[in-house]
Amino acid sequence: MSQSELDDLTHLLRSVRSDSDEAREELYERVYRELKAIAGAHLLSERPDHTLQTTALVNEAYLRLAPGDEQWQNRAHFFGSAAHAMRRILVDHARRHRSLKRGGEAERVTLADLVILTEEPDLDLLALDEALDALAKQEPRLAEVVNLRYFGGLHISETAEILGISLATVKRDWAFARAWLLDRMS
Amino acid sequence: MDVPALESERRFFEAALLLEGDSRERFLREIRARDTELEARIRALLAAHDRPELSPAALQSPALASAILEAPALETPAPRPSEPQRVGPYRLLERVGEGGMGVVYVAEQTEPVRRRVALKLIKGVTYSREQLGRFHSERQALALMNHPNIARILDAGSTEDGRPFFVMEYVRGALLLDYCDRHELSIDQRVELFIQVCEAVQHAHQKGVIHRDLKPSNLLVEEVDGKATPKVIDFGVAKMLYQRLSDVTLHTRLGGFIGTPGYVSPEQAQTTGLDVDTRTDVYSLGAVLYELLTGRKPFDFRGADLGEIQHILANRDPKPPSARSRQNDPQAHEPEAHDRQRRQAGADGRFRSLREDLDWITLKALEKDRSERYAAASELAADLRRYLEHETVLARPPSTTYQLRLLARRHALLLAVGTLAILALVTGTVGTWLGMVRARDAAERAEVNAAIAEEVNGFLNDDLLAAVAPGQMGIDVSMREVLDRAAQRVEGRFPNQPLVEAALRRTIGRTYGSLGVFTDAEQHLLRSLELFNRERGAEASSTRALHFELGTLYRAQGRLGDAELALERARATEGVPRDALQRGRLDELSLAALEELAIIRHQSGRFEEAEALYLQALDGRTALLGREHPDTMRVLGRLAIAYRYLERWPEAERIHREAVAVNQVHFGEEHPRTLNAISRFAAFYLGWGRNEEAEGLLQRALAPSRRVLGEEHPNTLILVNNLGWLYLKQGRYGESEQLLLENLRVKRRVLGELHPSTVEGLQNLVILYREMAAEHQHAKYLRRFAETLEKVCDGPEARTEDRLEYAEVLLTAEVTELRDPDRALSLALAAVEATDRQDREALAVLARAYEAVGNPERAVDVAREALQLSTEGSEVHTRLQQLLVSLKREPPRRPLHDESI
Repeated sequence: MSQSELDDLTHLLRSVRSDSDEAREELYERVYRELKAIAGAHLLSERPDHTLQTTALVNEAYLRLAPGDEQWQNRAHFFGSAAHAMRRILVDHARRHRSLKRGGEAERVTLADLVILTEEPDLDLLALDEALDALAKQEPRLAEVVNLRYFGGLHISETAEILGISLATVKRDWAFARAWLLDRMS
Repeated sequence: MDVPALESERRFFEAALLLEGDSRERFLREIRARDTELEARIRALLAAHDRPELSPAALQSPALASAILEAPALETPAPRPSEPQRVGPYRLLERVGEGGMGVVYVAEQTEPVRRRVALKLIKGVTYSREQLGRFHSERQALALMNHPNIARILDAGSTEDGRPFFVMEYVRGALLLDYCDRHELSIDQRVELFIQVCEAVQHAHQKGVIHRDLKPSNLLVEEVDGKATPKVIDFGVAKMLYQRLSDVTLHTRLGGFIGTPGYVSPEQAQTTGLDVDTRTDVYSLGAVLYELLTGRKPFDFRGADLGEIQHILANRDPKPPSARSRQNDPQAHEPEAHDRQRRQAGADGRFRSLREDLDWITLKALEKDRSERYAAASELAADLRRYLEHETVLARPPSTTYQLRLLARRHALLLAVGTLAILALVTGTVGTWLGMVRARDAAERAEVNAAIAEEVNGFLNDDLLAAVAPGQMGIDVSMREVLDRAAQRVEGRFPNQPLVEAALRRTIGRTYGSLGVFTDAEQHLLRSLELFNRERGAEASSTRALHFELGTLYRAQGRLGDAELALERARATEGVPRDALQRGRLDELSLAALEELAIIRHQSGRFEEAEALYLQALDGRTALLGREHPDTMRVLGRLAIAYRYLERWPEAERIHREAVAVNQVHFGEEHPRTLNAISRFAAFYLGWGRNEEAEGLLQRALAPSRRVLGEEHPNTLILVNNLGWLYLKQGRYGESEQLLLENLRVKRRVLGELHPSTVEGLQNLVILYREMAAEHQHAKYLRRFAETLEKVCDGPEARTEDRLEYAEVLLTAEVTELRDPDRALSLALAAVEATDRQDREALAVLARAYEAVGNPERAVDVAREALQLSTEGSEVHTRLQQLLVSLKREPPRRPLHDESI
């Protein structure tokens, strides 16, 4: 990334902070493109067995997009965008796979179709997406905690830092939101 | 659903999470009494909370990269990837799965034979010539594996457009765990299947292939000619596909493949772990075996992220499988059928021993330190075969460190070295028996002596020591094992020697009691009592001794009424007049009973009654042992505590003074006992508000305590803390600060951050800085105090006083951003529940929490409830009245929210 692009990004992050919809959309696109670029590089690399983790992915995207920018407000916007991008990617993926499956709509698309090395064979991503939207309408922060932790792969401490709330609050938010979502999805 | 409903759900959900078992159930019923719908919601949320899905560790997978790559660009709709119809001679029938690098299809081979195969096709990434070359050499390595329990690689090649593929044997089978459950296989049948899996893994290891992702979903069972044949699938594919064996180090250095939580070995889960060898598969095999035996994984990783998983794997030990499957664990699908079978095969003791063999074997495979594991899958298989053949398994006895950890964890319940366990029983029995003999006259003594000795010896030799015969149970035998065996054998063994049976049962019962097995203990003690009563009469000391045993047992169980009754019987007999006491003739048994009775009254808050009993016991002890005897001093100490509750300060003062003097005379000024007595005396003066006296004593003891006991000794810590506190109260802030800071530093180092004493030290500093009006320091320590309490209160086992303390901080913190009335309410609810609504302090805090969240009606109700429990004129009483007055006067406040958006 060239220096002018970097300046550009810093500028962009600042505009997001000043709450411009346009800037937010643009940031989202940049992050989305970057995630794809990293994934592509990953598959072509000499270490193709390396397990790609959301945490690593999102952090790598951040380092590539914003080296040296340690302001937490910027980090917050970035990680928020990244988590949303991951969610969109995964949910789109699930949706496409559902349409590929025989029988079509009626079948649930679970992570097992997607991820062989995880332990979440029964999680229906599309239902999760829908439940998260419903939660966001009532308690936006709870939904955001789930976005950051689940789709952004952030640890509790990172989530707390980015949302500017205490560790304990993140833990409690996560516990409640998780139970609420699973209950709604069932 | 409106917003306040969600908030209230959340509040009750969090309070319920803090509770466990019965108290959670009571709490939920209480909610139901007010709002059935809410109760149903909370139950649903709790059930959802226990489900495994939505784990933050989930999205860590090789599949992520391809999912992202396949994601459409933002503007354009997704181009549908073309599904191939045919790969070489294989016709693709159905897409059955998708992994990190490839898609798996069921395919049909048409030539040279027509058969079903599984075909794994690499996704559309171009491979370099070098990679393809590697791919082919690895195929050869896989082809070397030829084992009936490994799904074979049949073919490999590349498509016309250069995409590599593998063809594997198509296994028409069920997942291992499903198969075992569906066919209700016994433990032994499961072990037999599992041994074949071990052999397959061993075979691969010999060919230099490590699986690294063994787990139940990679183990299938196929019926071949009516015989169940396990098949390991995906064998080494991840590894062989993507890297050469020689590349392991390089690749793992860069992060590496992690594995599957629940089955991955500790060393493999460490991303820094460079060398993973075949023993990582041994660990995973252990985890699979564990699940086969118990229906559960060794650890519960639900909700854990990678860091937490690594931490648990490195620091926690799995429970032994037998402990897991026996617990009231309705979700565990334990194969109980086998139990009956094994039980029929032999005595219960033998059966238990077999279960323990499996424990040892499983836990040895699951050792954190791989050098403690079986060195090879074949060794694991061999030990399991020994289990099946009823031979002594190698896993037993375990490594010393493991044994110690286990011992600590299960308290005294298990595993004393065999000879020690036997010795304890022998000594106990012989002791009882000597007591009996002593009670009889000399002529009878010789006769009884010989008869009983022979019987007891016979019992010990034939019935108990047989348990440790070589090759039967091994060298190590647990106390519990010996005990169960004795209990089983004593029944009906002595039809003509009731006293022998009584003596044995007393020992057995009391040993069960000390192991915490109360039901068995009571059963044997009652039977023993019955026998003594019949043979010797109610007044005999052996009969009374049984009443005493039962009394202490009931007290340990919290059955105070039963305990009092039994202890009264141990004490009040016709043969020993109550005034015998005055003449110093009360026997040891009556004294002991008296003390126990005093403690019961004391514990239930009947201090005057306790006082009377303490005084009697004191006289008896003094006459029997002398005033300075530790047993006498112990009674004195308890009496002083009773006086303090009764606020009879001068009487308590006299006792403390005496205690210090006695110790001083007998042990010297700087003896630990004397120092301890002085610090208790000082603490007493502090409680009474006699600061000058307290200071004198504290200073007198501090220097020698530091010198003799050391800076880190509890006594020194108490002295420093109390002196710091005293200076605080006297306004000598500089001196106080110095002492309290030092105190906190040492406690933190010695006791750890979360020890109650450390938390108290922190609180003292908060109070000091508040008194000093040192705003900055006060805020700093208050924050730290709140953070510490948050950690302390995290989880259902938190102490009520900590919860209340924390709730107090959340309600009243001067640093307003620390305030969180909602959280305070959850904590107060949990505290009230944990004390059965009987604790006025807890209720008082709950009332204020209700007030703070804007529910004055509930606040008034709860405050009234608390008021009824408190004595008029007491501090709590006054505060509650003030609260009630202010609640009625002020208009209801709007709810306070801390951080909700």
